[in-house]
Amino acid sequence: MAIKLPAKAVSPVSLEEYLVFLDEQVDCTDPDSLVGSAPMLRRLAANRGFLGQWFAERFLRNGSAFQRGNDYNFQSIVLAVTDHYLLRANFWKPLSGIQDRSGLESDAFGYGVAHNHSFHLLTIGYVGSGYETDMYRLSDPEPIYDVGEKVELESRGTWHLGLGEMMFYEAYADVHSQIAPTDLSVSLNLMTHSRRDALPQYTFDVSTGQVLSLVGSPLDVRVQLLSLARLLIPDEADAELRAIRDRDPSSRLRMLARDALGEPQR
Amino acid sequence: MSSPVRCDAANDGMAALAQFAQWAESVFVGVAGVDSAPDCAALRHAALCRMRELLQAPPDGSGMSTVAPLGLFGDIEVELCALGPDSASARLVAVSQPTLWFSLEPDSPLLVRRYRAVDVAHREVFDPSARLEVVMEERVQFAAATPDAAELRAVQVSAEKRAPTLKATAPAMADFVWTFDTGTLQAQTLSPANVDAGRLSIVMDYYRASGDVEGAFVAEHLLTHPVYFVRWKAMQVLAERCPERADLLLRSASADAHPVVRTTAARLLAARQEG
Repeated sequence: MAIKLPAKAVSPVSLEEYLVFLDEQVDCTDPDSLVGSAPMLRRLAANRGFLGQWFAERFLRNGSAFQRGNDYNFQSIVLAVTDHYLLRANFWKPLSGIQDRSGLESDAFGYGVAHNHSFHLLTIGYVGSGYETDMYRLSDPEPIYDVGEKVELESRGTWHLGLGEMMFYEAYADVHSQIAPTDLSVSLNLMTHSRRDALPQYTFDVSTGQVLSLVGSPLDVRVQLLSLARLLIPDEADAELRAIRDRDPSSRLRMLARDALGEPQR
Repeated sequence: MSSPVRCDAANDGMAALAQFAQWAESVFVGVAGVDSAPDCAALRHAALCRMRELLQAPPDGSGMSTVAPLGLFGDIEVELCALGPDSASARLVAVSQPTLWFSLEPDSPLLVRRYRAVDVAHREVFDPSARLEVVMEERVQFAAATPDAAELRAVQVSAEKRAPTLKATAPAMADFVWTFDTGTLQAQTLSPANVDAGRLSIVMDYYRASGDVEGAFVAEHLLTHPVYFVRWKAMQVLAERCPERADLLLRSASADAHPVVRTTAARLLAARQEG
């Protein structure tokens, strides 16, 4: 379940020290271990100069392409990624700072879009007054929901990630909808990776309690390739898609395989 | 059952795809055409073999991608996509990078509709009155589109029936991308051609918000960035860090290539001089 931890004065550590700590002492498959690592993320956030220095060093080395390979949009800057976790800085612009003719910039920040995660996320407010977020709890995250299906979302109120404050979002069950901060704010996120047997990540309409859409995942690539391969090697591709539909450990991929085969979901 | 296709090391398709990329590059610069088009059957075989390799070791990916990356040959990226009658989207995206589509299904030609907008005065300034007009429609096995200095171009490519299509793209030549509504053909959006500019812009915002000492160093390097709002934000960071340089920076920005930067800088400069 989502938890919030108050700000606390601590001594700073460097990014390198924090990453060594993660590698050696945190089990990213265990939510308790992640929550237990919170004091060290707090110490990284107490290092007020590390992010600006990190940008400057990377920029000097790689110029404008300093984030090549980062598949997130411009809101996120990836600081480190391993097989077990991803550390990123997320930027939250106030609405007054969004000059948005197309809606694309608002979309990039995901404001007002209720969603769950297919990974655990530990976060801390690093710069600015911080975002607020409307929190919900998905009563039963285990079933596979269809788009348009009703789910039970329990409102847990509006939470605020202020400077130095921390939150932990549990995979699947915690649903939230971001509210833009009043000034540019930055949060540091420690995220686990979606597991092979991950449940789907959804967006929700909290007013009706319905599933709005399925969020894409890097795990989808195999089904996407097979969908294209059907045009060239239909029999082989269909056989593989049927194998995924019938036997894959991921309910999400089973569902996508049925879609790719043009079969009804239920 | 489809007949088994041999894909071994000597016949893995990469050589054919490399030749395709080379040919696409020649088409982009206007020195190759229909008479030198590659053999469709050979390309289909090459794509098939490459897909088998990808299925053995899928690349990292994210989101709901609808293309398969077959390879990068020099600057030319070759992908496999599926085009069909429903491939037309609600948005027409102006051509910002040379692109070539090649149908691997001889019985399903590409349906290509070409557009242009000739009255766009400034490529980096959104003009809501900008509008596309249809130039021509054609049914072809392959089609190419390249950006042009004199006019904004857009291309809508679909196919009579769902068919595998090779797509070759060269690096972007424009810093900004225009989109138009497919129905009304009116301009809809203008955005940077790649995400780097957005990231640099938000990093500049960060330096302003945090007061970090490294900001001036990075900003100094971004004063001549090709994207106007990155230049502008870099100038703001520098002017705040080094107030003694503010007038000089504003005077320089008053002569910027972008009209919004020019007018804003001139207004701020005038206000400072009055104040």
